[in-house]
Amino acid sequence: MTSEEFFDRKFIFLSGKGGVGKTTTSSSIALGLGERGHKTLLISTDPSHSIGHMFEKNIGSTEKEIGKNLFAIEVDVRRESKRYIDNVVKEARQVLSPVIIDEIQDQIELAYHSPGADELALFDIISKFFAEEEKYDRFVFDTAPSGYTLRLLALPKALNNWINRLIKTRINAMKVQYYATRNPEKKLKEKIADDPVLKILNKRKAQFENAREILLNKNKTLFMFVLNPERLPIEITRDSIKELEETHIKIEALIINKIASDVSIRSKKEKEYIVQIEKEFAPRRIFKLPLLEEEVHGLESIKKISDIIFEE
Amino acid sequence: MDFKRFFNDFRLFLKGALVDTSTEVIGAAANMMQDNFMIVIFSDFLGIPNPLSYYTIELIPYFGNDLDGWEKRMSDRKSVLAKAMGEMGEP
Repeated sequence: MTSEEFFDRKFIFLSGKGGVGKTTTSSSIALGLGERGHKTLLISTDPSHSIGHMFEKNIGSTEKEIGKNLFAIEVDVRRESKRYIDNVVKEARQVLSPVIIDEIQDQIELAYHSPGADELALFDIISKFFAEEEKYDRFVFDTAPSGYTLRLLALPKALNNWINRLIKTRINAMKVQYYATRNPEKKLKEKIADDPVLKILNKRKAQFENAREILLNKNKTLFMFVLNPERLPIEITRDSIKELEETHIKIEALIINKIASDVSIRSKKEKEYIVQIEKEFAPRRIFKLPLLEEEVHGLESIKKISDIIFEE
Repeated sequence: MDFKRFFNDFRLFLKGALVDTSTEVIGAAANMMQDNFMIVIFSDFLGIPNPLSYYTIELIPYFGNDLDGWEKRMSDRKSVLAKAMGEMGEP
């Protein structure tokens, strides 16, 4: 199977520790896909906006054409989560009295710092792209959702049961409330259909179900791990893969990045590690990328890496 | 005796004895269900961690009016006890 055939999935995610080269690799894959005629969107959620530096272009938070069939976007997770919270406050202003707003505004804004907020905000961003999948042939993400988010999504019992029970409880509470009201203005059915709380819960339910379907669909989604030929990254990769595969998400390929080959005094040890990776993670596909003499920066060096990836 | 007045009093008596008490009971049940629902979505306000609290704050606007009262009810152990006794009857 050629690399192009291997990358024949709508959504491509790269995981790996910081600094191993996720941005380099995802940029190269996106560039190669674009060159081969697939309309590709490269999505970076890295706060340092490194794909802009990589392509030496100003990219920013709206989709921008940066090459042949190649588009890119840099999403600021913190800003998106700020926007979400501001919208909640705005909605609260519409339905609540100013006195109450004063009391609860702090509590709403505290959610910005709540545990897991960044991860869930990132998941919201990814879901948005899931919802408009017809816009591009390929979506390449330089970060995957965290292991925690993936577990939450992939385990149907965790999230589905929770949200289903919430919906059921809400409907029951509304029914009882309805019977306790002597002269109800609206029929129960209408009340349930118009309830903003149920609308939000159902929206989340659809989001979770859709994401789960896409993430577990191997014809649609590809997960890869980027690592360097060193002891610690191999160990971290082993643990992460094991953890993810317990949730039925398959890591189908490993990308060994920054192989120094002959020039390095560590090259002997490196070779051993590469053999170890190939053996241990078989039958997964292994891509081997060299450490370039110059830092990967600018179209020319991305093209070099891209050609190596697509050469197979 | 004015028959009309008697009839009206009798109607009010029946309403008070049957309809009002039953709606009151159902009303109390409805309030309790709402309180329970709020425990699940806003548990972190009570110090119980909720891994999805970032998502549930979206629901605050629709519970905001009752949030303060709910927090007081939840943290006031006396009222929790009184409520339980009211439901089950004093020992």
